[in-house]
Amino acid sequence: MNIIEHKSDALGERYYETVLDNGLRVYICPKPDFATAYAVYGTRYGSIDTRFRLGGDGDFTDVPEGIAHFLEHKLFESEDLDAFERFAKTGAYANAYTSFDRTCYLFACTSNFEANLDILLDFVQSPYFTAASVQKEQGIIGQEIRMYDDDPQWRVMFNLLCVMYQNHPVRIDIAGTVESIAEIDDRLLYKCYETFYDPSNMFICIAGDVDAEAVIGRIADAVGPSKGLKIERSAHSEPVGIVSSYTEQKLSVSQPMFCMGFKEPCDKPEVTLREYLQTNILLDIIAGESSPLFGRLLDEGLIGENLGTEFFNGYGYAAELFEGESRDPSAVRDALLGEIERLRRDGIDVQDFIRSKNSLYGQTVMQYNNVEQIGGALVAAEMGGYDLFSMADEIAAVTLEDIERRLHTSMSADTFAMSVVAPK
Amino acid sequence: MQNITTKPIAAGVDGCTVQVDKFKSVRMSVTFYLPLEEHRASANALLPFMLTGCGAGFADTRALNRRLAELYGAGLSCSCDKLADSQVLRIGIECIGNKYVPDGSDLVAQCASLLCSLIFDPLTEGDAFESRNFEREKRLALERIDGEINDKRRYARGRCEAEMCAGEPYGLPAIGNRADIEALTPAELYTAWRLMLQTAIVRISVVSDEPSDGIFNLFAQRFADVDRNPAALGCSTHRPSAEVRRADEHMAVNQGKLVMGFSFGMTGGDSESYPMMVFGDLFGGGPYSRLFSNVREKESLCYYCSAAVNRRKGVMLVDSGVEFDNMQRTHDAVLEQFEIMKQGQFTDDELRSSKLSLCDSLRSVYDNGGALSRWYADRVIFDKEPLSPEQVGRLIESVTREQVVEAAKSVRLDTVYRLLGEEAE
Repeated sequence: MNIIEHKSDALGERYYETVLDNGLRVYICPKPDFATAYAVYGTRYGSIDTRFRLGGDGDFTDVPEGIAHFLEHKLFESEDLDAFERFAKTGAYANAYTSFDRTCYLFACTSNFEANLDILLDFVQSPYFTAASVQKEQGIIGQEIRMYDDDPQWRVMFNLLCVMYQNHPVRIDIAGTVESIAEIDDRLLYKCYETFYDPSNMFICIAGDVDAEAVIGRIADAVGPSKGLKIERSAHSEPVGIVSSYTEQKLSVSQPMFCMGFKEPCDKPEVTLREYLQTNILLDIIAGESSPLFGRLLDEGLIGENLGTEFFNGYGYAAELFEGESRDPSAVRDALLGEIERLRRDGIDVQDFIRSKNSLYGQTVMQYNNVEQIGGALVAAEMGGYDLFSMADEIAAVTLEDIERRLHTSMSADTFAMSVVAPK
Repeated sequence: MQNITTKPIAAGVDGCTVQVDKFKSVRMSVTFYLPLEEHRASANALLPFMLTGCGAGFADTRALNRRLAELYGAGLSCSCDKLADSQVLRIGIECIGNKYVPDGSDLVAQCASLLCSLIFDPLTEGDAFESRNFEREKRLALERIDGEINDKRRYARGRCEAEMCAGEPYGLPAIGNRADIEALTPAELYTAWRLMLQTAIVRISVVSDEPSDGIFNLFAQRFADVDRNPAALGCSTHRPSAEVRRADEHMAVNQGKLVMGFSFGMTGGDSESYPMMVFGDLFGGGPYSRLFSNVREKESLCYYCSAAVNRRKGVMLVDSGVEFDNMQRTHDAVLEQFEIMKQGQFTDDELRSSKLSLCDSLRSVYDNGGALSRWYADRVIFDKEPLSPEQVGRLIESVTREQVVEAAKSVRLDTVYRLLGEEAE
């Protein structure tokens, strides 16, 4: 087994990476000063994987919206003791989450690390679904969906994705709908499990006071062989254009909330780390808390305390997003589009560029503050296909010309859309 | 390991350093504890935001933000909460440790002096806050108050607490009320700021890999010019009502929120509150708890149903998001589990799980700079004998089944608040 050591002298950190014979990728960051250890067992399977086939299958399988998230809930159950009951005997904190492109199971503990790791490895590999337990879960997840129906920040974002994307399943809600999850049964859950929970499609990230080699050995002993299946995800022919430039929903909120942004064409399925960092610096220059736009909107009473920016991206989708609250979201939109035009015309101030770069560097260093953050950063690096420690170097290498180029080649007004949640 | 030292800085002002080298960033936070009083709460609530929204040398928020970005993305934070009968105003800064600063400058010292200057040298016009910045902060404060309804779960919990503790300091909103904020003038806020510096109990917490003498000296010099007269802080127990109070509110929502407020006739700063913590956790803490395993998992009524004990106030809130039609069923299911707790019909395994989980999260406090900083601020103010997370863990471990049952028996249902749809009954 070939274990690669990644080392950063500047940060005083190291982590180990290996690929097991079954294709499972393992990342371990030893943190001897920490009592807490954190482990994530994840699969590249999320809400966007609604249409797929395995090598050998004739037809693609379409599965109900929200099934990846449903499967996440159900995997905690087993024939005898469910995973929560087993973690309850060790005192660990256990949880799981599903996003667009991944499902992750995790625990944090200050003792019994090996016992907890054994539980994690075992329950994720032991599906047990019955018709009765599926039905029970429909009630629980139904209430989770209802909760999000009343969450204006969640709604305003998904409403935007619905008018930005015509076909790509990023437009569907991660948990699905009460109607879509009613179609889920044990047979479909097994089908998704068999497809996406193969070690060759999965990864494990750990940060804590652990012996990397011993832990890798333990994982190698516990995780079964790969079935050698080839997952084929159906390509979603997503046009460059948007569905509509505006959408509005009424909810019980105090003032309008907005989420607006630019849909980027995806000529390749995933953005690179470099593109990701450059875009984040650009977004900070345009609308970050030090930007002229932010200052003006705040002074004019057009935004609340926050104007969030995000480079939202994943397999087959990418968009620059801006979100916040405003008595007049259209005025915010006009100011944003005007500011981007101004920057294209006048150029970016070099001091603003340096400030944004320094700020991003500081935030990057701070993500090594604790084991949960390091574990999360390792997951992001695995999903993004980059070396975690290359981030600081990549930031240092960004030039003003890179940012100017990005400013001129992205964020076309033709693909701009806005979503508003307005008071009822 | 960490080394914890405290240092008196002025009358009622103490510094506390957790010196530990495992974090990449340094945190400094100044917490002001003031009596929660109706006529002062709204002005006080505005202060942490006013003081971090501009300052001497920073004409507006953007100018201040530019400075923070230059300091390698240092983060300024502020909050206003309530704890027991006190209003807690916190202003903090977090920056990367000096050893990670590419240009080798003393970033920590620069951030300490920025923090100190924001607190002591606000942007003023005579004996009043500068009006343009004041008006902005006033608008944002009103938006914060109006915006409470945006997060329905949080809103419902706040409403239950307000109903339950009406007439007591804890029944007041920590972030102030609309009418008082609207009427506030820049001069009145200036007076509130002076009073805060003079009368608050103050805790300066630093989590750093270096000693904090320089930081504390900076604050000592500034506090030396303040005529200190610290006000005593109250810690009264919630007075339970004779019969269960019920409050319904209707709003255009998709999901109902049920919040059940319980009271137990004591406040805890010391050992007697640990059985109550175990009771609350076993009742409605992790997935092993009675509420999770029964109301959610067995009855499939909700996504969340949990209990949170506020030991300093002697209250506990149980809350859940449910279908309107299932409100009564959920209410009854919670009470059924409560009866089971009182009769001691929980298993030894459940009790062990709860204690294990509580102790595990206590040990993890040492691994989180923010949690460490808060631990050594609030606890020292309100507890008779401030204990370390490790010491509290040992007390939790020693809690017996009998003590948990006894704690459960002292608990009474006090107030039931329901957020319902416009049409629902």
